[in-house]
Amino acid sequence: MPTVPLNLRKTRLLDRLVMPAIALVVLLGVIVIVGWITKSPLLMQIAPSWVPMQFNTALLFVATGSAAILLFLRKYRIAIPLAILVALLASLTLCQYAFGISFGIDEALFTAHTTVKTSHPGRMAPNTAISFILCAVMIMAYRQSSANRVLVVFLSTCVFCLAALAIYGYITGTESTYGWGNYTRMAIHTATGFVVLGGSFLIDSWYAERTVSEKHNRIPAWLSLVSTLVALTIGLSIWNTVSSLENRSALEETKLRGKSIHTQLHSVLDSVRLSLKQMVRRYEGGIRGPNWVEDAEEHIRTTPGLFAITFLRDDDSTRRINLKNEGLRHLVEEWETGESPSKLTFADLEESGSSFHYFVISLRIENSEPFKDSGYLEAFFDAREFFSHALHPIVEDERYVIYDTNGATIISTIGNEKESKGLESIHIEDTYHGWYGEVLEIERASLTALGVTLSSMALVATFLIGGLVFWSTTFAINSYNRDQERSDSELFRTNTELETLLHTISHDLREPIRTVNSFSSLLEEECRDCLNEDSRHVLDRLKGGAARLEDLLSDIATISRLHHLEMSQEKTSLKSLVESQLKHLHKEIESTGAKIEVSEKLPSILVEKKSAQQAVHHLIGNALKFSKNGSPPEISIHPYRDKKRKGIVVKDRGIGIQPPMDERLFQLFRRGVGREIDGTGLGLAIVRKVAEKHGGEVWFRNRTGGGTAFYLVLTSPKP
Amino acid sequence: MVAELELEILLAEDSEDDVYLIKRAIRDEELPFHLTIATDGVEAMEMLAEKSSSGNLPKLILLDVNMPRMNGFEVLDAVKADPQYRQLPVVMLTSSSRDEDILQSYAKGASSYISKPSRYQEFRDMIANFSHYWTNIVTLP
Repeated sequence: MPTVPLNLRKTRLLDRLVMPAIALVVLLGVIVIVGWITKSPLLMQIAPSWVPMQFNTALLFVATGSAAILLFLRKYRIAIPLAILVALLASLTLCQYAFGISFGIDEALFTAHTTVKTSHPGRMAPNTAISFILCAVMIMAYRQSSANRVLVVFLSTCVFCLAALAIYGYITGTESTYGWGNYTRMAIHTATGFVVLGGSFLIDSWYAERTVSEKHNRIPAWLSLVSTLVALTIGLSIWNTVSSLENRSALEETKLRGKSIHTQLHSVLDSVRLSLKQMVRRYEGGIRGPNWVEDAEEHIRTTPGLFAITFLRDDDSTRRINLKNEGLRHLVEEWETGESPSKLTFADLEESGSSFHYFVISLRIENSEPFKDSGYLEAFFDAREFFSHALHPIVEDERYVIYDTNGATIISTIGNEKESKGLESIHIEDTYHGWYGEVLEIERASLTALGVTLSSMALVATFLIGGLVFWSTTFAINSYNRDQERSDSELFRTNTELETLLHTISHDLREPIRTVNSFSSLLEEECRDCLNEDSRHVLDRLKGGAARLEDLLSDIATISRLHHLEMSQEKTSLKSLVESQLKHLHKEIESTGAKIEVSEKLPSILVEKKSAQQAVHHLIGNALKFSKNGSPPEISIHPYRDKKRKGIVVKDRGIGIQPPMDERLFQLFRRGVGREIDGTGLGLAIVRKVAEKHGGEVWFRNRTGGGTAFYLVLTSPKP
Repeated sequence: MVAELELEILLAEDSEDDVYLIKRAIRDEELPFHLTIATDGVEAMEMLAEKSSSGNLPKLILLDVNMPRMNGFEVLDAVKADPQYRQLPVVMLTSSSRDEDILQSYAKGASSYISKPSRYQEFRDMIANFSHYWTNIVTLP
């Protein structure tokens, strides 16, 4: 089993930023609440024309942020009910939108005095409410950790993307990304708050996943989900921009076309009116007899859409001038008997049952020669025929619909009227002529390439790229993790082999060493009197070598054992632990005449007793061994304490440690001194191993005035 | 030495060196022991069976832990499982000083446990102390 890097988690910079970032969100909420109370537009809205962060939104930010902080502090009993409250309030707000009702919660706590871009005073935006619900569910799901991690990651990514989309909308001026329909918009600082909340949970999930021992070098599989959602969000932002650009340019183009149609209609109408005016002048100028009839007939024949010309005396007695088609006579008659002919509209005719629309141009005639009277010359036009002829040269292939002022279709080139939905409408009412006004619609022009709009291409591309990102990241993550797994298992196998080798060496080599020891001591005993000085020296060297080898094997065995040690910790007084080791070392203490001072304040902590004893033994043993030549060692043992950890310090006035030996001193078989002082080169490696097994560490400082202080921490900081 | 009765001891030990050292220690301390030596666990069990059939069971069994074919713990299990031998005192011999080995020995019913010392003098002292103890126990009425 590979050992867990215990302090891995809190050493990552980003992970450390999670809590302060969420605290900032809480602060944001508090600032906006203050803004509402003090009526400060800067705090509520940032810019006066921007939507304010609603009071309820600010309140929920405080609640959600606090719940998240409590969650990370493992205060579930407060965090979860708080999250439930947030979800409840946000859901009620959504219900108000969905069913068009009001529970009175929008202004329950505070009456909104600013309603810029707010559909209901004090009510948070629907997308804000949804984001809060997602955040609340995320907090509730968080506790079950790894099982629900994918859910937490999914929700936090959604919150993040929704808010990022809104911020993008503010930057590019695409309102549809932060406002839904005509409802209240999401404020820019609300979006920022959600980006921070979603991002924080994502970062936390990332490190939480990688802190698990077997996975610390793996990439979580859910990363593909996150990248897909992010890719989709980017795609949707681009689609939004393209389609809003497209709308804008389409509108421009449509307006332009509408204008040209408008101009064309007017010029045709003007020319028709002009020729009618000339006709009137001719009559006023004295045309006689049947000539005027021919004149009128000529007009009707040559003017498209004109089907009747009548003269209406001031006393309402009529002389019919001409008709293109006898079937239309009743229309003209209806018109002439009307009460106020100048106010006739298309709709009046429609109501009277006509199957098509027409309009009348009426001109005043004073003392006309043919009629011997004053009155009105009136020209009846078939609207359909007139418009199609007038517009023919400029909009031959266009799809357009022309309505009258009452919305009834006069002419349509679309066929099916329903299709006309989505057409851009241009009002081309003619106020100059008074009687005349209609709305024209022509098909919205779009940015197209090969007959496909760019926005629909962007949308299709977004989903294709989303799929591609999902597929490729999943593939990449899987293959990366497989490689890691393979190298892990190779590493694990190699480690196991090495450990087995270490174990075997330390045990199997002890047997022959013991034999050498036993037999050399037997030889020494047998030949006590027969050995000369040289032989005795040889025998001593033999014994010394064997003894060193035995110590070495014993230390190797210790390291190998520490590796597999099950950490069953018990509350242990460091003072009694130190004292027991001093007893073990009494021979060395006596022989060196060491002065040892043990602080009364050594704490009691949770340790694996036997290994802690070994570590303390080596530290005191070293302090005794590395004393200055001739002088008895002076050793003092004190407690060590920093913010979260406890341990001991062993200080001596010995030979000190020369600068190049720093971290390397704790490596296997590294020795700071030569062979003149006994040692296996494993003592400090054992101390470090013990410290690591406890989640602590060991380091040293050279003391001013000579000597060294070794710091041994045997507790891990609380997560 | 008070006891003139020669004590029959079955020693199961695969290391010739250790057998030699034990023999030397017995000789040097002039202990009244008669050693029967088996070089592995299987041989030890065979010898035990042979001695049992001739009604001449050893008074003590010394078992090395690391032996080929059948190790000391396995022999200990077999001895304690057999009603004929269950009463025989068994002393485990090993070069290891691991707590687990010591605990396992007692858990399996060994009477004592000896870490093989690495100095001959210590070896001799140990054999002497231990023989005093066992000779007295065995010669009790």
